Amino acid sequence: MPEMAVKLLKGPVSVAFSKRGRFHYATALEFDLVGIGSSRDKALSELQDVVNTYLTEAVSSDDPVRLEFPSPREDWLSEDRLSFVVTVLLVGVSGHSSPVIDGIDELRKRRDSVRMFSLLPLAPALGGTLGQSRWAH
Amino acid sequence: MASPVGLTDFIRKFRHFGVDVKVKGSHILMRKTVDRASVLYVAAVHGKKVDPVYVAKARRRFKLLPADGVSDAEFDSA
Repeated sequence: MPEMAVKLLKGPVSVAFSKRGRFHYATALEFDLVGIGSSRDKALSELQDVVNTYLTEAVSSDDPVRLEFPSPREDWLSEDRLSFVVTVLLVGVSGHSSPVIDGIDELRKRRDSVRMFSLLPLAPALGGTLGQSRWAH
Repeated sequence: MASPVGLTDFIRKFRHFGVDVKVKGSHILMRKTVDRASVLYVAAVHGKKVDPVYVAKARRRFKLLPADGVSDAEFDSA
């Protein structure tokens, strides 16, 4: 079985939640990506899939991609917000190497190893370690 | 509140403005070079319909808003 490792990508992601009509919306504010669902959890689950597709495409791209695209100001004003970290599952990479990946360009160099991106709720103690947004390529 | 857009209409409108659009499962992958940078967007499809929030955000991402010189009428009629 190939060696696998889960790494953190530097830079937290803020997710704002809202409800319009029957639907819940979860917006990843650094990327302006949205998940929609009949419940808050389903909206977040869809957002996870959308972010995974977005970052997978960006890593697969031959050209550098402008990843960071902040949502409009009104979305950032939401009081219902949570912070997440982005993790990436890599195969064929030692788990003993650095636990944090500095940027998407580093991942593009080992794109064949990338399997999946996920959003994980950010433990407050990690906030200082991960620093400010680092999503500009 | 705006109504959902049919998937076919959504694809046609953005392709009209030079956006490369592909459907992969329940996701729509969109890509265009804007200001010399490769720009991506991902929208979700729900039952062959696309929520208007994705139309608004993709128009903003690909600079297809009135502020960018594309009126709502021009976009809607594409």
